[in-house]
Amino acid sequence: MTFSRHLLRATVGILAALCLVLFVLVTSYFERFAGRPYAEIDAFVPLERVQRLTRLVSALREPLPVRSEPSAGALAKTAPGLFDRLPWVDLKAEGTPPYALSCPSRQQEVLAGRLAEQLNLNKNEAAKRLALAHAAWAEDGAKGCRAFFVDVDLVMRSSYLLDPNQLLAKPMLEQSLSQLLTERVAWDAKPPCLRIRSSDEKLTYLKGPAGYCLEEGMGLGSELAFGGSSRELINFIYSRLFVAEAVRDLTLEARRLELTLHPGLQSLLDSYGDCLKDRMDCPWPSWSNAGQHQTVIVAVMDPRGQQILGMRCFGRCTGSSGLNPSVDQAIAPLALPVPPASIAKLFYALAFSEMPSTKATDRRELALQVKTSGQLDGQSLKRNEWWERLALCDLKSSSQAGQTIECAMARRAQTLATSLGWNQYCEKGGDDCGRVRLSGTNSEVLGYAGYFRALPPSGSAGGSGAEVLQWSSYNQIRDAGGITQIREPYFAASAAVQSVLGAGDNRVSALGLASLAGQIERMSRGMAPLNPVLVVAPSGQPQLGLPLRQSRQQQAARQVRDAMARVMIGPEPGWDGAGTGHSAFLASFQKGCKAPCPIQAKTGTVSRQDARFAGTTTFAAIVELDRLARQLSESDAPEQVAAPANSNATLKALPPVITLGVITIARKDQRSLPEGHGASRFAMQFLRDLVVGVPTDGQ
Amino acid sequence: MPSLNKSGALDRFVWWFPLIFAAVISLWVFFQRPLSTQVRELAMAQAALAAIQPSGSPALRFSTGAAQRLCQIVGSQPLQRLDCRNGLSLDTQAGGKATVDARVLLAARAGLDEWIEGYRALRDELSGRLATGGSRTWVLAGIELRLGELQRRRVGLSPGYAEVFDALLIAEGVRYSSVSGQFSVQRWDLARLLDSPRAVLERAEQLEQLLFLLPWLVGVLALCSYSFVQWGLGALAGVVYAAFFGLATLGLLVVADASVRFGQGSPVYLLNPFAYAFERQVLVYLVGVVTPCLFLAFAIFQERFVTRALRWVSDHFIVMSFLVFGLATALYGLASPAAGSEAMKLAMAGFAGIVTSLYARQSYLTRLHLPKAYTLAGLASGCVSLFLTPEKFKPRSVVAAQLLKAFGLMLLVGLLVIGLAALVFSDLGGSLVSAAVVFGLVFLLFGLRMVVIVSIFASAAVGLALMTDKVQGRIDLMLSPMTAAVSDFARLIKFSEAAPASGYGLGSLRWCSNEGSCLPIQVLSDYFPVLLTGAFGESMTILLFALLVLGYFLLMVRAGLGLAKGGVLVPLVYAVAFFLLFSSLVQTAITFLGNWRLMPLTGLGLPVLSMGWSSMISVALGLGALGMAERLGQRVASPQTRPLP
Repeated sequence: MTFSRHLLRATVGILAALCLVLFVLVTSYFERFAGRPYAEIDAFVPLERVQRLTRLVSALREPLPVRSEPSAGALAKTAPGLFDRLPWVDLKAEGTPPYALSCPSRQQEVLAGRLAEQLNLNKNEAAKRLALAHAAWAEDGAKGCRAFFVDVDLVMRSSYLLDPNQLLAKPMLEQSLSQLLTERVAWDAKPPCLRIRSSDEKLTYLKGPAGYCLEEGMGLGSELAFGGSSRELINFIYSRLFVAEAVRDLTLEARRLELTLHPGLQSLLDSYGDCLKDRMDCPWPSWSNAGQHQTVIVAVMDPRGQQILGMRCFGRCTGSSGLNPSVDQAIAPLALPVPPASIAKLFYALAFSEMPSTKATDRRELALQVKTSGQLDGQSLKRNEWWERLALCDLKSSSQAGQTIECAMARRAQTLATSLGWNQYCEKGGDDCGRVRLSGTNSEVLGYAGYFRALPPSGSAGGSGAEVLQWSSYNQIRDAGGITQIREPYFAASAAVQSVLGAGDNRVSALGLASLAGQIERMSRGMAPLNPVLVVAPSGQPQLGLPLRQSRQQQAARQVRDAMARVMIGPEPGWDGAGTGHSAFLASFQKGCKAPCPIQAKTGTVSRQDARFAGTTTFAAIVELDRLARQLSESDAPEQVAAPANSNATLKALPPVITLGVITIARKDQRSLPEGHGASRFAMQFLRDLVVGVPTDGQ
Repeated sequence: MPSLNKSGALDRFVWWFPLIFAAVISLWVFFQRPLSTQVRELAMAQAALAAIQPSGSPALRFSTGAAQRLCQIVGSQPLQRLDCRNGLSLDTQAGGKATVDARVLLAARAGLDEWIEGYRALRDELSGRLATGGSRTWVLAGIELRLGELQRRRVGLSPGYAEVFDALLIAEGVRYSSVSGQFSVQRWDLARLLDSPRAVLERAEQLEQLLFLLPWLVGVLALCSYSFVQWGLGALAGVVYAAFFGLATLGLLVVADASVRFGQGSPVYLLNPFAYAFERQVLVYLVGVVTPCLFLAFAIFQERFVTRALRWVSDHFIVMSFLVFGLATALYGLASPAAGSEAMKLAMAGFAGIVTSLYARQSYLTRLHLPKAYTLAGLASGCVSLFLTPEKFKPRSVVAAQLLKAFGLMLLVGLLVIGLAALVFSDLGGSLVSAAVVFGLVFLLFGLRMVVIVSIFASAAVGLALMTDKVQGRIDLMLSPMTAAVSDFARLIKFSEAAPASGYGLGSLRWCSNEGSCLPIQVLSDYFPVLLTGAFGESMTILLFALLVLGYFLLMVRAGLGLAKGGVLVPLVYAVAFFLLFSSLVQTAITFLGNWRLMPLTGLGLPVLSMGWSSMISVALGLGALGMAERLGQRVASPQTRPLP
């Protein structure tokens, strides 16, 4: 064979081999990727990095396992196996710093400086903690100083991850980090447009691809004076809407959704900013005495369509989502549950009022009991005796002849709570119990309305709930601290009593409080209950719901509303004690509310004996804004609060009636001190700001 | 090949080829280029000029550097010793916050307010110019986003140093690297509209003019270069050149599209990051398409000079190789990894070409007549005989020693450079291409058995390379694109999946998703095959890949045939062309396979099509060398011409 032929053969051989390899690879490409394996995945989540960051955060926030200059042996003892896994950490090195990373000195110093600043350590301690954190970070074999730097920087920028007051458990931490690093990468979807509508029907663009979401004449987001928390809320809501509302058929229009928040009202709430935290710069004088609160949560709704008009959480709002504090703060009004306390009495009040057998005198008694949330005249040793008797169908009984009694009151109250939007998603139990869907669209934007259980759990002793102990027998056993042989009626009675006091495992959020007030307002106007909404798909017609089927319910709601109107007024003949909200009204407006008070409210205070929720107060109210403004502008009002009705633009733009749900949680050191009712006080301050308007200098 | 000297109907007809080609390609470019009216920077820069120079009021002036000054004033130390994020000196031992003079903070906030006012004025001016609901409303939304970010930081109850510093960075469009302590101005940040609107306007106008002239430029270039190649080498060479020209033009059109439309819909890229790229790519394109013509021109008009140069190279190839390898290594360290990688590929291809042309025949003859010299034992004794007196050894050892002496050392140096590139500079792509060239060379010189032996060493090297972070990351990216460390592939996959079966079409690529997430910024270099899928669909992309492979295959066979011809200098040029084309073929395969996630991504561009010099040089030089060899070969074969010296 000649050299030419050999060379040609070799050339063709090389190329043929290459082509064969390419052919095999391309064929395998088709086999591997036929059918678009990632078609259903729209989110990118860097799982390994999430786990690495989880380890890093855990290591960074843990105090050093040993004293300031630990020996390598001690370190190995406290963190078994760690010593062997520290190729980047020079544990044996002498001098300062003793545990230097083998990264450029500037990087180490920067990270140590920032960690020292964030965790209030000295730099040496911070450097040691960094070295240990690096070992944890590199457990999966990750290397590289720059990558480590980037990850630590990310953790420190998301400062909540290291905040000792907000330490998340590992699964929550992982979830939080996962959410932080998730990217939506869908290319073919048309995400929805989220807008907001002002009272003059002008639409403002909030979120969504501006290319098609921003329409002719539409306002821009920065015109809204929304604070960071509201922005976070918008982002959070949009992230929930994105998947369900995205249109994949490109020939279809993108969905246009509207956030129900009222721009003016939300701006007012946002303008409070961090008044709870830093009152020095707070422009609102009403916040000057807010120091006793750790948390204040407020939700405002329009009862006509049960639309959420405004919401905000101030102070510590963690635990609502478990994701990150800024999301927590944004959605706490929708999600953070506390015991409803006496607000739960409203269910019994409605149930009692609905009963045809209820006499006029009983109805008056009910109104007065609602006003003071129990009896204050000294005729009963127990303030809530009337309510407990009501729950046990034992209002008239005074003898101790029979120990048990047939009673359907608790069941009626529970049924009523469910029909008003509480107890949803509870069939299967789990985390969703008590939640409510806040979207009039395809997507699942879940909020927490409330959980109200007046009957013992089915299957347990007393599960039927029909037969309960008489109150006196129940009270006797309760005071004695034991349980007799009549277990079922006792448990049934106990569940009913707990529920009427809004204790036990009953829960409500600020949204649930405002929503409950809204349902009562709606029913009093003859409208059926409606779930609250935060996002709506505009159809041209406002969603106002259906009329009530039974006029009896309307009558009952009216009676309860009338009873709630007494909560803000002072003492009256024949009934000792002012309404539970009276002092708050007086404090904010320097005068009492004239009957019929335009604020129909109910207050709740969690017992100081409740280890977890002591110091929590709740408030739900229906507020007739026009009447309130008129009443405040009457001539006998003190000058400083007098304001002409409809004096500010926000008030003008609001619906004539709003409902309010407020929760306050006192600071731990304030919980044992006697105090006013925090929630009603905040509510009145808020209404004052809303009605009177922006404070001027000197006020 | 048909040449000018031949006559006939076909020859007369082929004269029209360049004209037809130029007309077709001009029209193609004319209709496929992005419209200059789509250059969004024009409207934005004009609005910015109007916004900062309101009539009747003094012009507003913006400049970057406030964040840096704030840091320096607060830290009172050189930047290297400061962490500007918190304003603390690195020498501070205790934790805590920087103490800031209230007046300094007040001044910084005032500066920030000016920027906010500037952005507000820009938004208002722009909203008057852009009809809302139009295709550019996302620009307004992007400015809104910036304003929102700044206001949130500014409006807080008591923004401290860190908040103000952060806000200034955002306002000024400046990036602060905590790692190095340096500030860098981001060229495509929105802030450039305020601090240098004239520069943005000028750039946009240049882009507009270039887009206007592009069809003419391409047409004239096509006509001249195609005519010249056809005149110099014949119709077939002309067709090959036209294919190359067409591919390069396709790449240019994609870059033009990106330079105008990339970032549309994304609030991150309000100014196009590729606005500078087109101008540069036009230069690359010009050099790329002209290079083969230049080689041909040298072969035609400077034949003596070329032959002298070639002779010099063949005589001093050891020195040359050392120099080139040294240069490649230096470029890695001193210039950029891309430059080093390209230099290494070229050096390896050149070295392989020269060695093949000089020693392939001898090697073949030795293998034919002294097969034992190519056994392991033979080569080992050859190695030993290099250092001892040859008389003591058998002839086969002496021959093996001579072969090893000739190119073994060079091979070793080459492999060392490849190892250095792979393990130290983490240049997986360049190393792979160079290693493939070495394999080709070993196969040509020593046969299959030696390839197997080299493969064992190569496997060890691959094992080492696999242990590096960079390669691990890329394997992760390949296997789990939706959960890897970076989202590049996730976005590319969703982009490909979203494309219709026949693609979006050239000029209609969706660079960004509806939500504003855009393709990775390296898309024009590393991910060009994905762009092809987006533009023309999957089937057409695979067809294009097959055609490219076939094209390289045929060109290499042609070069192989030329190499087999006798002589020294012409085969040398053929051999160099062979290995340059081979390296381009390997690079093409690696790029496609990497993009299809059948192998780890290497960071190599797709030859001819991808943006940048490194994609163009090898192929342009390879085609140039092939053309030169053809021309020199014709001269040698032609009895009328003077023989080569």
